[in-house]
Order: sequence, then structure tokens, then C-alpha cells
Amino acid sequence: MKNLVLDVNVLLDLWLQRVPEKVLFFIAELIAKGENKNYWTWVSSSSLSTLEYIARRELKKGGMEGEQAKQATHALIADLLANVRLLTQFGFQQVMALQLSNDVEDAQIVMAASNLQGSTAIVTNEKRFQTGGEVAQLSLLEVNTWLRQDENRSVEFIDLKTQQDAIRPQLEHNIHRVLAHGQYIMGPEVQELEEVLAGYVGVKHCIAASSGTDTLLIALMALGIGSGDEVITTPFTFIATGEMIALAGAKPVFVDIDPLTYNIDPNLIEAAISSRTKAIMPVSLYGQCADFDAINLIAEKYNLPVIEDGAQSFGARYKGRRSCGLSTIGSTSFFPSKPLGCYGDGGALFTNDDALAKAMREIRVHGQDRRYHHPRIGINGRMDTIQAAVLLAKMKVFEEEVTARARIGARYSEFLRDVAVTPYIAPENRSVYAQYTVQVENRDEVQQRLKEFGVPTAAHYPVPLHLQLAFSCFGSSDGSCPVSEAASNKVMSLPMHPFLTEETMSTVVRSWREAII
Amino acid sequence: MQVEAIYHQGQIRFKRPVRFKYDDFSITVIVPEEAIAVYDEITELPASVSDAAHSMLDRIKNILGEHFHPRPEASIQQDREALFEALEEKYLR
Ligand SMILES: Cc1ncc(COP(=O)(O)O)c(C=O)c1O
Repeated sequence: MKNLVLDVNVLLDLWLQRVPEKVLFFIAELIAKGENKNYWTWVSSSSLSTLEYIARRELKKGGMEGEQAKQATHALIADLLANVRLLTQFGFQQVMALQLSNDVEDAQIVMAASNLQGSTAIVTNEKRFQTGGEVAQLSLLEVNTWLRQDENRSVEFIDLKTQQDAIRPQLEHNIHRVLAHGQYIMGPEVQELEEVLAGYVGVKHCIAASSGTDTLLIALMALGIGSGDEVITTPFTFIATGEMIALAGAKPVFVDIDPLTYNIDPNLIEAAISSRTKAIMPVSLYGQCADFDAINLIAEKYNLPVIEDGAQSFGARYKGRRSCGLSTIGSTSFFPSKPLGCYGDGGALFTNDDALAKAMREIRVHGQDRRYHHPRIGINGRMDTIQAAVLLAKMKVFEEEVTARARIGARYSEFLRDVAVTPYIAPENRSVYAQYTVQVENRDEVQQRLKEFGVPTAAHYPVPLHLQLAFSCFGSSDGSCPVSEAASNKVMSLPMHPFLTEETMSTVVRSWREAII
Repeated sequence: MQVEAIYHQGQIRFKRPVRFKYDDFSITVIVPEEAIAVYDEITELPASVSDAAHSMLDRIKNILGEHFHPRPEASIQQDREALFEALEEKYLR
């Protein structure tokens, strides 16, 4: 998405009808909120008082009575603010603004515009801004052409910048609210977030935590899993899944995956259950939920709790129900690149079980049930208030992003179906495509060629957990999980994020076609 | 006297140095017709103006009432003067 920052004179032209009607409509079109726009419209907050002074003065000059001119100007500004986004003036940028230009007001607009991450242009009747080239300047006549030009940005594996522009006003508001109240640990935003997330997932309890790794440990501790116990899980996952089982003192028992979904194969679980098995921990890999009905059925039979490692699947649906609300405990990660990511580390736990929720809340804060009283052992697993504030801003647009992810994933598959092993999404699933992962035989070469074409890729994951040195003490050997082993040699993730344009996808696909030859 | 000058991004620069007796006085500049951008050249207005833009203009009409009417184009300088007048009115009177 591109950004247009409207200069004072353009707004005055509209408010004071100083341009032909056709142009009035053109300016109104730039300001008015609308679907399917490929740009956001901003006004620098430093422009508001200038706008107020000039509009009022001009209306008075034209014969409007003083008080009426004041009210009319206020109404015009209010209407503007209801439609455009406001750019913040940061105190710490003012010295730089002063150095940038003799005209502080103009420099403030440039400074504020340069805080935006996407391509940005100031729309003005007079190109007087000293922008240093970072921000473009356009007359109204040039706007359409500029908006049509490609952004010429490099292909990014994950685009957090566009998202930041999208939520900037809410983000700044939320972060500054925390700076103001100062409750950096367990501030009110943490509880607010827990309520929002529990409502979103559709469960009774959400416990926000410090990461999607710590959440796994907290869940295992709450279930009383430790030394001598076994937990069944998948080897085709990020290290944290198996690592936390081991850290809790238990043994990860790796069960191979389904070759289509890459998730744990429910048909193989029962054979792995022993008298020491204390839980099943499936992972909803790449954003697609594991087959929870099948897994829960087995768990019920053996009276085992099920912990979903939904670090990659927050927002996904399985048979209409949301990931993290499909089993005894759901765990997710808000690592920045996850479908819902904060600006640091974060995670959350979900459950309908009151006793487990209480235990997990206590474990999150050193096992305490009230200040300095510790009925159990816990950890420091709290989420920072600032991260909760960031997530609250992101939750406002999350469902739109989930929809976009599903659309983009499906579109990628249309493009690639004849030239790659594209992801298989089971009919009962709606994936959030945390990764868009395909298979390729000569992965290293293809990755290298794509890199040369400017297309970043990643292998999730090149070594399955049962073959990691760290787990060698558990005695798993090569060949014990053949499907995972085969997949780990071939999987490759392509750039994926909710702002991926048709053009960028075409670039990726074109590069792919050339790279696999 | 006539002096040749170059216009560049909002500023006029004389081609040869001239010294003046005063700091402020008015001059007449001949601008070549073909250099002037006219709004009629905005040929690429959206085929149909969106409802949102229509209603925004309606709201402005509503706010201004009888004062919604065409006014002459204004330069940045004129806007600046209006700003100074308004500031004077607020702080100096
Ligand atoms: C499947 C899985 N489990 C656990 C984690 C750990 O999450 P975090 O990075 O928030 O600790 C991740 C994140 O990378 C993950 O992908």
C-alpha cells in the first residue's frame, strides 16, 4: 500500500472550492474512505492549526460571521479527521525538522511522512518540500500515475511494514497509553487482550504469556508432567515443541506425520501410547490444524490431555472451530512473523478447564496464587503490557488478514499447481498459511537460484526433531519417522503475508518456474 | 527592464545578476502557456465518483451553506498571508 500525505493547500482548495468541481471531486475521492483503495490518505497533525486559521480567515473574508466561521471550520476539520489518518509529530524529531528546512511546518510534514514504511508522497500544489528524495512530491495531476506505478520494493518473506502503516494510528495510541499509565508488567492491556483472544477463539480462558515456547512449558507443568513421563508429539516441527517436553523432564515420543498435511498422523498415535504416556501434543503446522477429532478420540480412550501447539495456526479453523480451542489446552506464539505477531516475544494459552486455567495463571507468575505466596513451582512467563497493547491494535485487523492469507494461499496454489507440490489443505480446514510451503527435489539449488532472483525462501524444517543431536539421548534413529525425514529434505517456504500483491506473487512464481529448470 | 529568468520548482532565478534598491516590489513574469498545468488535464478522474466522495462533498456543502461557492484559485503566498492575518488577529489585537 502506498501513502498519500495531503498538504494544507490541497485541503483548502476543497474546503473553499478554489478549483473546478471536477477537481473538488478528485480531492474528495482521495480523502473519502473507500474499499479497494491501494493507498492510505494521511494529514500531518502539524497541518491542523494552519488549516483552521486559514479556512476561518477566508470564510470570514467571504462574509461569514465570526462565530459561524469558527464552527464551520471545526466541522470541516472533524469531517476530515473522520476520514483520513493523522500523522504524529514526535517531539524527538523536531530538532531534525529544524535542520531539514527553514520552514519548520513544511519540515514537520516531511518528517512525519518519512515515518511511514511504504512508498509515500506529499500531494501539494507547490513542490516546495525538502524531502531528500525519501518522500515523493506530487501535484494533483500526477497522483493517478504515481499510484499506478509499481512500488519497486524487493520481495519480502514477510511484510510487517505494510501492516504497521495499516494500524499505525491505533498502534501509537495503544503504546502511548502504556507509556502513560506505566503498568509495564501485567497492566490492564494484558487482561483486555486475554478477553479479546478468549472471545476470538471461543474458549473460557486465555492466559497471555511471554512466548510460544514458555506457553508449552506452562501447559506441561500445569498438567503435572515431569520426570519419567512421555508425551507424544510430531518430529516435524520447530524445536520448541520437543524441547519443552524434555525441559519439563519428560520424554518426547515422536510419531510420524501425514504426508499430505505434514501434521501428526492420528493412525500412528495409538501404537506409541505406553503406560508412561501423559499427554499428546500435536502441532498445527504451517497454519493448518491437525486432525483433532481423530486425536481427541484416541486421547479420550486413554484418558490423556491434548495440548495443541498452535504457534503457527492462530486464526485457523478446523470444522468451523478455531485453532487453540480444539483440545484440553491450546498454545500459540506471537513471535513477530507469526500470523498474529507482536513486536517482541509473546504467546498465549487457551482452555475451557477452570482448574487448568488457574494452574497456568499461577505458573506464569512463579507459581504464586497471591503476592509472595507460592503453592507451586512456576516460571516468569508473563507477557509485557506493551506487547499486549501491540496485539490489541493488530486484533482489530486480524480477521481481515486471515481472510487475505487464505485468498493468497489459494491463489499461489492456482499459479503453482502444475510446477510444484503445493500445500494440501484438508476440506475441514481453513489454513492461515503461516508458511506457504511447497516441495522440491533439489532444494538447495532452487533456493540459491531464487535468492539470485531476489526471492527469499526458507526450509521449515531441514532436520526433524528425532534426528536433532539434542534429542539423541531419547534414542530415536534415522528411519524411525520416514515421512518426516523425506519431507525435511524437500520442503521450502515461499514469501507469504497478507499484503502479497498479485504482481509480487507473479514475480515469485515466474522466478520459481525458472529456478526449477 | 526585461531580464531572462529560469523557473525551477517554485523559485525564479535570474540568468544574470541584478542588484535592487528595494527588498519588496512587484514584477511581471511571462509564463509560457504550454508550461501551465490545467486541471482539465485531470482526465483520469475515476469513471464514476464514489458515493463516499459525493457524500463528503455534500457534507461540506451542508457545513458551508450559502458560502459553498466557487472561489478563485489561491497561491501558497496568498494562503500564507491569510495565515498571518489570522495569527495577527489572534495574538496582536
Ligand atoms: C510450532 C512452534 N512451536 C513453538 C514455537 C515457539 O514460539 P516462540 O518463538 O514464541 O517461543 C514456534 C515458533 O517459532 C513454533 O513454530
